[in-house]
Amino acid sequence: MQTRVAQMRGMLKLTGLNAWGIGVLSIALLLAIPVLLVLSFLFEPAGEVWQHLVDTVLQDYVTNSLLLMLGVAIGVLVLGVSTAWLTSMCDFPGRAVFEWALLLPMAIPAYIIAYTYTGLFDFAGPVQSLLREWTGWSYGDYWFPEIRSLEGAALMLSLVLYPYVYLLTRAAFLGQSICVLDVSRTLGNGPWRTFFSVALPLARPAIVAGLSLALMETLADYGTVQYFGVSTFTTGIFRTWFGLNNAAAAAQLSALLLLFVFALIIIEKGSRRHARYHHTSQRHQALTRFQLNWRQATMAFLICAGALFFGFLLPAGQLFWWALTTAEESFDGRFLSLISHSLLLAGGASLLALLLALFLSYGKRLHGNWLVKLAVRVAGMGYAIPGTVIAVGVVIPFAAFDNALDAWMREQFGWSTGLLLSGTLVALLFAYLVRFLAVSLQTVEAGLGKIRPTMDEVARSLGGRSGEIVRRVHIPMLKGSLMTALLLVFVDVLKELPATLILRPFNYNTLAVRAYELASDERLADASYAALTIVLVGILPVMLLSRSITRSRHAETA
Amino acid sequence: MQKQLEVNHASVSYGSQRVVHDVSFDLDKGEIGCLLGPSGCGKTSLLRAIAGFEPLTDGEILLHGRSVSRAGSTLSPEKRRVGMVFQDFALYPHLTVEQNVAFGLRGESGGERRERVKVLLSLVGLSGMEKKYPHQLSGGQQQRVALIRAMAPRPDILLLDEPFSGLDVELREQLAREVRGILKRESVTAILVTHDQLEAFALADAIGVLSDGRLRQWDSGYDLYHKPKDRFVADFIGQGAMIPGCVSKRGDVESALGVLKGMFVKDVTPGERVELLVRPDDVVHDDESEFQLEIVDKVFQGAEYLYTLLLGDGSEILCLVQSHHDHAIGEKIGIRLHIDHLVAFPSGEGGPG
Repeated sequence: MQTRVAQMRGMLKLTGLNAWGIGVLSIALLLAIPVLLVLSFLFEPAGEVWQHLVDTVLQDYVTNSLLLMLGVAIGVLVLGVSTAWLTSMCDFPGRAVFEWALLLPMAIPAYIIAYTYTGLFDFAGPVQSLLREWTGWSYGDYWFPEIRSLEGAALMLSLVLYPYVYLLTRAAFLGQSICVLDVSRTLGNGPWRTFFSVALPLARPAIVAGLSLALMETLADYGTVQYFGVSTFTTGIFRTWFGLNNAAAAAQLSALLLLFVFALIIIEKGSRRHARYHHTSQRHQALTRFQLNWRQATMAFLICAGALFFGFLLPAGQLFWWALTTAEESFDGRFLSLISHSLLLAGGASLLALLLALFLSYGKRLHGNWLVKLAVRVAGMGYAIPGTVIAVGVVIPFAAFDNALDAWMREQFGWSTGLLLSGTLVALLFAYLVRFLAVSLQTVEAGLGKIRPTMDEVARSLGGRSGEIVRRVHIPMLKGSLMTALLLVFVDVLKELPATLILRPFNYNTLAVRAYELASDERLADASYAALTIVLVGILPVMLLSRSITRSRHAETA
Repeated sequence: MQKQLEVNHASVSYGSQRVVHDVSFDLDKGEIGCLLGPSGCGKTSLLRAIAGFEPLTDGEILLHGRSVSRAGSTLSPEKRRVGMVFQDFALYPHLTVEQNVAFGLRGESGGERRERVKVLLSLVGLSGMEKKYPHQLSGGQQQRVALIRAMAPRPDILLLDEPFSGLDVELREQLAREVRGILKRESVTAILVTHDQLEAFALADAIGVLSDGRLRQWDSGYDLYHKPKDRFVADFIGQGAMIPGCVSKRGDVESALGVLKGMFVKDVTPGERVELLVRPDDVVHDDESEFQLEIVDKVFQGAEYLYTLLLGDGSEILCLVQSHHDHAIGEKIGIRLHIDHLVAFPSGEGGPG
């Protein structure tokens, strides 16, 4: 026994780990279980159901997912790049407002914008009704674009996902190429030529990074495609799981979806690395924007206003209208219980994520050898993994654990524990942590990075002990980042639909789930209260983002 | 008298790599020392060892007679009463100037603390800046706040890690002189680490030149310049030229500059070939002199011209001349030698560097 302990000590020394490092490693390993488990199904022999899927629907899933990605790519590129260029490089009325307002669509989850557009544009909606009233046509007399289609889904996703491209591209335009743009202009190139020959190629890495993020969200989407009846990977996983009742085949589909996601991650990381080389200058001199004539200015205004109107004002307005008309029936005790469920889950998950993020990033700061750094990266991997996949990866091991424990208890003590973890809030919170820890981790690490090591050393040379340094230096300097991390995870959990849908305890409803259920029953107006609440809370992180944009603008002009 | 700082045979290693090797020196109370050397010479590691951030692998460090570092035993920084000023100043962005300076003051009443901060701020000419935040200050002002923050708890020794390198070149020398004035007025014992010899001359009483982790020489600036103990110090400090010579039977050196009396860094035997260090200020321009040399290069330096002169054997020396003596390249000028300390190294000991 003693030699065993000594051996273990020796091994620990070899990896340079202390208790903290072991903690970091264990957390990372635990969080990696769902993804590793799903991936392991790639090597599982294909079952009968899988063969059935391959013969029938798999090709649809792949084709539809690819087409959807293509449509979203076109949509977010057109919307994101054009608005980024206009607000950062051109001057026209309202530019300063658009600069931050163009982020607002981020507050609306794709499935919610899908519900509102359906309500607005389907056969019984106000637009078509008005059309029939004016023209006297009736059903079948005219053609109207079908919103509940693959194209419609691509449009919905584009309208709320373009801010990813907008945000990164705008930063690239502002930060990286101002001096080269100036050179281009002094060499006699006009706005269009400068845009296509200099700015666009230079911003390409940032554009690609933003695009990959938008496409990851597209792959993760379940609510929109399900509601529009488009068969993609995520809906396929649901159908295989709940329709065919086959966990293994669902996991195999998930694994296949993960391969798509990994491809996107590689593209995103690669282009981000590339983006660093494109920083030609650290100086942010005040840039002189292109002065537009009235016709150009009107066009610029319409483009930005269009993105803002269709991406935020119209759907939010519709939700607001519905909420007003259904206020009496909807606002009751049930709604309050939805809110308290959502608050509990989002609050709990964000707090847990914050604590874990603090533990991990301090572990990295204080005892960061390569193993700990790798573990922290692994723990932050989940942001790209679709909620559906994580849910599958959580259900299977939790069920296996419950069954094993149950069997063992029955054998040993003759009584059954039943399902101890499956279908409880524990499973749900765990899934949220896997998916959203990255958000928290990134924010905390960025905040911690601002506390330079010399600041700790100054405090120590002035006689400060560890506890005092944490209290007088770290907490005050980190406060903002910690609040941000809490808020971001809170909102993400509030919006998350597929993982909640699969993992929630029986009849445990949240705002997102209730909105989904009501919309599925074609009770769109009744869904508006829950949906509007999600959107309103979702505006908070957008405000944070826009505040940092305004700040960077002040820094530019200073 | 009790030494304020004693460093005895100190060595520092990172893993298997030894970055400081058997260094010894000491400082009296109120004395300002400087560790000078090119980057990577180990000077910052040595400073951090004195602060307590790096352990010693060998030797000992004593502060005010108390042993604070030995191999295997390091008193942690917060317990050794050192003040440190970092290259990046490391001011706390969330605290005002007053709060930054008062950071290390504990166990004093609020009134005493405020009084101490007020005195220190006026010492560095920043009175009235109490409520400002670091980002509202200029680089020079931030540097001064970092300095008085380190001085506030009256440490036994003040450590300055390249404190001027983040500032504009024009500011550095002026600030170095100011800081010296402040430290002397408060009779603070201090050590500065730098790679800039002008900074070292402006600030320090005693300077140690380090290279490859070894202390080459610990001396005043004057002695480092005029009496370098090895070839590295001779090359690193100041300008100068090496000319070949030969040791005569009487112990003089015969060279293209004539027969000169020398101070030998290492023992030499008659007949041995040596190299002589000739500083620009050893060579005095004199139009009357019969010893005429041709100018092969010249650099205008404001008050002076630095002429490069060609000797009969093909070697070159430097000569500083007041700048109204403007001669053209190719012209011959008369010189006199004014050599108090002629430093000679045996030939082949290290290349010119």
